[in-house]
Amino acid sequence: MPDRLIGEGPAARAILCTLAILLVGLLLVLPLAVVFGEAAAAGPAAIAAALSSPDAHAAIRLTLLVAAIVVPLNTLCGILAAWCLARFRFPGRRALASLVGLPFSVSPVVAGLAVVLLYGSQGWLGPLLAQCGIRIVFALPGIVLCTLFVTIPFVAGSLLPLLEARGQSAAGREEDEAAATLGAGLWQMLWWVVLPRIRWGLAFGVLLTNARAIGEFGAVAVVSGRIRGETVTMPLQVELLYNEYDLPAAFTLAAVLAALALLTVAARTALEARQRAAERAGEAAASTSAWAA
Amino acid sequence: MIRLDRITKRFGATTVLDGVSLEVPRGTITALLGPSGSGKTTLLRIVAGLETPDAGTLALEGHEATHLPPGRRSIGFVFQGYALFAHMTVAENIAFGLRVRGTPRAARLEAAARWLTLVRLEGLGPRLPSQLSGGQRQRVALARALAVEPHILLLDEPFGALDRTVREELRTALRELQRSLGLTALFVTHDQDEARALADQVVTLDRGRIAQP
Repeated sequence: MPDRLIGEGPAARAILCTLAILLVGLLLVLPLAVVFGEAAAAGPAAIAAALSSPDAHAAIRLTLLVAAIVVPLNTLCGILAAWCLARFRFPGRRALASLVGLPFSVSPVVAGLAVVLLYGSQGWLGPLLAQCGIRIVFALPGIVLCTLFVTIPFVAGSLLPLLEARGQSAAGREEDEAAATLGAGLWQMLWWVVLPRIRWGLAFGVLLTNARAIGEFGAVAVVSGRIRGETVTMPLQVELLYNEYDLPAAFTLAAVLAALALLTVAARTALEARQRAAERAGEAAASTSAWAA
Repeated sequence: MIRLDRITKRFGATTVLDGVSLEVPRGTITALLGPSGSGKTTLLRIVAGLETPDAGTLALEGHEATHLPPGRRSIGFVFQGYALFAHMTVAENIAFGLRVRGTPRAARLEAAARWLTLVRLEGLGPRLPSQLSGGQRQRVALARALAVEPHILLLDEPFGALDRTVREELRTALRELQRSLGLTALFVTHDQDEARALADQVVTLDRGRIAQP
């Protein structure tokens, strides 16, 4: 049997598969189903009311605004950081490369506290900024800063291994050199030669950045100050409603967030399918042309 | 014209090129012959600006060029593995150098079509490099290098991966193009017959020095 691995008996297979299905069901499917179920149980009138309240509108608008600022910024910075780290050799490069992943291992609350400590009214830079009339904490800039911090790893982290592999492959290096001999500067090389080759990884990183920017709770909770209609994002609004025992509204908004997450997963799956199709098409073309040659 | 004067290049403790001086007169072809590890590819890459020599000077068309970036040397470089941009069509590959220089799209397309005819690949412009045979890819690489109208053409083992018939066909095509465009050409090979068949001057490198004929 070709699909049977060494040491794998029918019993082991049955146990492992059952375990996997149970885990996914209990930890992923059931909670999602409950969220959507509770929202649906509230009835159409309650859903409409929950979605049309001014606070809900403000929360949705703020969340989308934060994502609209954070996603392009971190995409651009992530591309540049990954390219710089993969292309150039300089002291501290390794340390910097591992720092890119830091927001994954640090609790988001720490990011929020750091922003407060730096920019809060008692913080290092807070008084100076206050004199200039700039408010960071309990306002949009603080929320954006926190979201930027927690989403740093997605684009930079997904591109860095791709770019490093490209730099180590002879074919990748020769493409860059060909571009250089044809007169391309660093920017033209990056946008026209390098980025199109890693576009799937980039799309993937952007997608995850967006999902996290919309869903971030911990870091934003620290700096938001929860001013209703002003600094409350969607996840914070869900918590507020939940704490006020307004369960239908809480679950309705939670369902919107969960639906966005499912959309992200769907987009990610579609991307992977397209990538595989593109690779297969490339291989097929290569094999037919090898045949023709 | 290419003039190399006492070029030395070291990689770590190894001296790859040891005071190499060489002149390629304008409008002629010179072959760099030698076993692998003799430094011939490094020498070619120094002329292209892809490596910087540790000592010695390089002049192209009478101008000092030792530290010029590759894009400002008026060279065309054909890589051993062709190094075509896999995500661009054949026409886009050929027009890349013009795009970099800001040539308008219509003029770029026109130039790409002209070059496709010159290297006898009419109609293959919309294809991807992966849909071409090795000999066809080589022609695209040649057209891409020449489309920016360089004075100097550099080729690294240009026919290494091709079979005999394709190789001879391409050799003729290259010779014709070089003559009609008045190019100065330097190419690396380990094949003596090829060097003699194509070049006006054959230079043999051995362990980083020019072997006396």
